[in-house]
Amino acid sequence: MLAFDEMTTGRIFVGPPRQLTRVDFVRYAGVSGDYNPLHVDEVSAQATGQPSVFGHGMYSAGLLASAVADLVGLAHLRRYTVRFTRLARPDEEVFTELTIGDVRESEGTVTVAVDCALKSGDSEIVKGSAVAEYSR
Amino acid sequence: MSQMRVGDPLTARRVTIEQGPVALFAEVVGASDPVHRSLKAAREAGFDAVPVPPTYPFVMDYFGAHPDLQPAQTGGLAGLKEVAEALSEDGGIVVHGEESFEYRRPLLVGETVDVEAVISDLSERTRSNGQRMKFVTVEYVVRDASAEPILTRKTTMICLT
Repeated sequence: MLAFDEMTTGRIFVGPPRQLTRVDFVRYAGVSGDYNPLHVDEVSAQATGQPSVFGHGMYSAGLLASAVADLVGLAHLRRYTVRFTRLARPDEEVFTELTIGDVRESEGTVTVAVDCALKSGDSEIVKGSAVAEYSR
Repeated sequence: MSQMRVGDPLTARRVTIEQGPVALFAEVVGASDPVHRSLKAAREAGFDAVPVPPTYPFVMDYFGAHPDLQPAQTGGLAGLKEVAEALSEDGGIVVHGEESFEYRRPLLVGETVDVEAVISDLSERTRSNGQRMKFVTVEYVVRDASAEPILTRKTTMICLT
C-alpha cells in the first residue's frame, strides 16, 4: 500500500507484465462458474468465427482490482468501476496502469481518485476508476 | 424488452462467504495480499476476519448460495442469464458493458448475507452506423445479518443488434 504523502495527482504506477494463457481463463471459469465455451473451448470458439477463446471480462476486472487494492489498501477502497473495452486474447502480455487523480481533503477525510486500466501495449482491455478514503 | 421494467426484482439470494472459495478466487485474480488466505494476516491488517477481494461479490452466488439457505421466493427473473435472454429476445448478441462496486465496509469470511437485485435502468440508442444498442442495468444490494448494507453492485449489459 502506498503511503499518504506519495499519493500525488498525476503519479502513474505500472504493474509487472503478465502473459495471459488459456489456462488462466479455465481457472477463472472454475472460480466464477462461467464455463461459456467461448472462454474455455478453443474448438467451439473457432466454430463461432472467433480466432481463439477470449478471457472473461470479470477476469480482467479482477486482475485490475488486485492492483488497485494493493495500491490504495483494500480497507480504504470505496468504489471500483470498470468498462469492458475489448476482448482479451491468450498469449497477450498485459499490465495494469494506475494513475492518481484528484486528492481532496474535507473534515478529516482524504478522498483519492484513481484511474485504472488493464492494457496490452497502448490498447486498453478494461478501463475504470476507483475511489479510496482515509481518515486523517 | 417487453417483459422487463425498471423496478422489477430478480430472485433474492442468501449467500455464505467461505474461506476456501475466497482464497482460491484471490489466487486466480492475482490478489496476492495474504489477508485473503490467513486470518492472522487479516487481523494484523485490522480486519475482524478474512476479507474478500474487490470483485468476489460478482461470483459469490456460485459458491455460497446453498439451496437450504434460500428464502421463500417472490418470483422475478432468476439471474443475469435470464436478464440477458430477455434483453435479446428479438435477437442480437449480449455483452457485459460495465460493472461497478460501492463498498460500505469489508465483506468477510464467515458472514451470511442477503442479496436483493432489481432492474435499475433500461435504455436504447441507435449509433450513427445504424446499429441498435439496448442497455440493461441490474443493481444489487448486499446486506448483513442485521440488514445493514455492506456493498452495492451494478451490472450493465448491452444487446447489439
